[in-house]
Amino acid sequence: MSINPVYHHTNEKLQQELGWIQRAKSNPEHFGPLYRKYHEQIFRYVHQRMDDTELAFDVTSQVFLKALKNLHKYEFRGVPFGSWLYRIAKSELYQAYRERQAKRTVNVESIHLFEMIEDFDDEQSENNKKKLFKAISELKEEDVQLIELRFFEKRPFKEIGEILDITENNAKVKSFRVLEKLKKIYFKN
Amino acid sequence: MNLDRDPISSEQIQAKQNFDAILSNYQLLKKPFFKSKWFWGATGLATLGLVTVFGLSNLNNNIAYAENTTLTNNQPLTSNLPEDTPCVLPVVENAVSYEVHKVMALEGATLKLKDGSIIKILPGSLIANDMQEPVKVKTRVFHDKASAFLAGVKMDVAEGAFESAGMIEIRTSQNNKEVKINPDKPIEVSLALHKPSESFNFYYLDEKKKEWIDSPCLFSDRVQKSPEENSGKFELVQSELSTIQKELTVNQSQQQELKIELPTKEAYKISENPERIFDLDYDLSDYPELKRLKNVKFEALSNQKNFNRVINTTWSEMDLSTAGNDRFTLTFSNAKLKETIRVRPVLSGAEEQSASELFDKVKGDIDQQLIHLQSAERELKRKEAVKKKQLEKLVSDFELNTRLVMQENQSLSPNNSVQLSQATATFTTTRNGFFNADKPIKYPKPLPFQLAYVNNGNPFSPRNVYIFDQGKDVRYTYGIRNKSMNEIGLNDGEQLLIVIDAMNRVAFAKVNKKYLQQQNFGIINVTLIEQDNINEAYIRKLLNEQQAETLALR
Repeated sequence: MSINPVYHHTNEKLQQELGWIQRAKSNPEHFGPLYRKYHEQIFRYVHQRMDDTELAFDVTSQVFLKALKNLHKYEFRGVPFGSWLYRIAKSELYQAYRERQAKRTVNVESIHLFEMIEDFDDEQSENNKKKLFKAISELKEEDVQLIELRFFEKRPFKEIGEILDITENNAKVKSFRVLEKLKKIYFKN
Repeated sequence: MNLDRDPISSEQIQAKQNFDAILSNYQLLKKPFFKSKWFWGATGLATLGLVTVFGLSNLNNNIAYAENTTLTNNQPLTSNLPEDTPCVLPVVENAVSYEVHKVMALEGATLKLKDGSIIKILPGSLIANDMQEPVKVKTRVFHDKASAFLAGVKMDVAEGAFESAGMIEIRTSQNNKEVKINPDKPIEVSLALHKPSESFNFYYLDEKKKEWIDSPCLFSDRVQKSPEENSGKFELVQSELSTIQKELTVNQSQQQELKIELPTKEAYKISENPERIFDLDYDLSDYPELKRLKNVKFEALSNQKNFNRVINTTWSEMDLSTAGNDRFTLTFSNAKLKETIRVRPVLSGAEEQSASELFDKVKGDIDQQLIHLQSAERELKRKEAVKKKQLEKLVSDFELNTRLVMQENQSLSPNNSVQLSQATATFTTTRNGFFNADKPIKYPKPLPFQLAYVNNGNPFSPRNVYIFDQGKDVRYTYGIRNKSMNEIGLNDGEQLLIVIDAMNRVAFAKVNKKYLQQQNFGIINVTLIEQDNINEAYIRKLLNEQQAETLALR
C-alpha cells in the first residue's frame, strides 16, 4: 500500500511550516504559502465527498477562511498543519451537508476496487468489482469514511487518527475491523 | 456512490486558487474594536482586578482563603508516585470484593461468574502443591468506573486513558500461595463485556513492568443464540475453507502436471552416466544396414549388468533390433559367447552441448514453477488450518452457547439478574492478574493555568488527581508516570474530579472547564469523603453510575 508522501514531512519541512504559521499568526498575508501548499489536497478531500464541484471549491475556500480566522488558536502538535486543515474541512463538509443541501457522495475508482479484491485473494473481474461496490454501499457512514481514507485515499494511520481525532492505534484497529466487515459482506453476496 | 468519476487535473484546481479573495473575506470578518484583544486586555484586566479584590473580600474565611491559596499555589504540583509504587494501589483495601470459587486441580471446572463471564479450567491446568486440596479461584469483574477506581487499577497507556468494555482479575491460590497455571493447559476465559467490542483492544496488566500489554483475544459481539445466526458465520467460514481447499486441489494438480512435464535426459538424448557410453567399431561393408547409425554413440541402460562384459570382449557377430521408445537391443556373439544388451542412442559433441543447454533451461523453468507452487501450497495449507480452527471454535462456541441458553432457560427466575451478556472477549491465559478490553482515549489538552485545591479554606495537596469524564466514559489519571500534575486538562461539560493526598484522604469536586476558563485561574474547593463512605456505592452515586450487574448484564 502506497503512503501519501505529503503527510510524511521531514523535520526540516515541519520547521519550515512552523515558521510560516508563526509569521501568518502575526500577519495574515503570510498565510499564502500554507494556502498554496494545501489548497489542492483539501479540495480533493472535499470533492471526494461531494458531487458538486463548484460547491467543493466553495467549501475549500471556507476551510481556509476558517483556518485563517482561528489560526491564533492553532497549536503545533508535531504533525503537519494539513491535519488541522482536514479537521476543519471535515466540519465544513458536515455543515455543507446540513445547510447547503450538499449530497454526501463516495467516489470510487475501479483501480482501488481491484486492489481491494486482490487483497481479498479473489479474482479481479468486473462482476467482483460490482460485488465490492455494492458491499461498500451497504456499510455504515463511519465505516465508509474509514475505507475512503485508508483504501481510496491511501492515508497513513497516523493521519487518519488526526483527521478523525482518534489514536493511531485506534485508527489501525478500526480500519482492520471495517475491512473484515466489508470482506464478510462481499463474500456473503 | 460514484464509480470512476472524471478526474480533475491539478491545473484546473490551481486555476481556482484565490488567496486574495480569502484575505479580503478575512478582513471583513475581523472583530470590531470592542471584541479586540487590546480593548479587553486593558478593560478586562482592570475589571478582573476589581472583581478579584471585591470577591475575595466577601468570601468567608477570606484571610485564610487568601493565605491558603498562596500556599497551595506554592506547592510543587509534580508529585508523581515513587517508582516502586505498585500499579494496583487500592484506594481502600477490599473495597471491591472477590467472587471465590474452589476448584480441585485434578478435576478442573467451568465457573460461571455473576456477570455471565465464564472461566474454563481443564483438569491439570492448576499446578497446586497439594493436588488433593482445592485451589481457591478468586475473581473480580469491573464493569464501571467506580469499582476500577476503588480497586486502584492503573487505567492508562502511553496513548491515553482507558475506556473499558470490561475487565477481570483472576487469582489462583492455595494456602495463601499463588498457584501457577500449566502452560500446556491454559485457562480459557470468556469475559462478558458491557459494550459492543467494536474498536476495543485487549490487554493484560504486566504488574512487574507496570504497564498494559496488548494481548490476543477473540471478540464476539453476539451470543449465537439462534442456529440461523450461527450458521451464517459457519457457512461463511466453511465457504472460505472450501475456496482454500479448491485452490489447494488446483495447486496440487498443477504440480502433478508439471512433474510429468519435467524433461528426462533420455528424451533429450543426453547421457545419464558417461561411463556407460560406447560406440561400435565395425566394418561398414559387413553391416551396410547400420549405415544410418554410423557415428552414433550408445549408452547402456542402467539396469544392464553385463555392460562391462560386453565392452571387454571382442565379438565376431552383431545384431541390432529396435526395442521401442528410441531404444535398441544389441546382440553380440562369438564362437564361445552370446550377450544381449539394451541401449539408447546419445548425442555427442556440439549436439550434446546444445541439447544439454535446452534441457537445463526447460528443467530450470519447471523447477521454478514448482518452487512457486510448493510455497503457495504451504501458505494455502496454513490458511486451511486457520479456517479449520475457526470452524472448530464456532462449533464449540455454538455448543457452549446452546448449553448456556439451556441453563439460562432453566435457571433464570425474575429475581435472578444473571443473564448472558451480548458481547464477549474470549482469551486463554497461563497467568494470574488483570485482563481488560479497552480502548485508549486521548488526554485533554492541559489547562493554560495550574489548579490549586482547598478544603474548607485549608490547602489540599493531592498525590493523584482523577478526572472522570461522563461523556467519554473514561478516567484520566494525573500524578503518574505518563501524566504529571502540571498536565491536567478538562473536556467540555461537567466533570467529576477526585483527589487523593499523601495521607490517603479522598476528596471530590464537580468542575467545569468553561467556568474555570472564565475565571482564568483554577482554585478548586474539594469536599472530603469520610473514610466510611469510600465504597463502591458512594463513588458510584457521585459518578451517576448504575449497579454493575445492571450495566453488564442484559
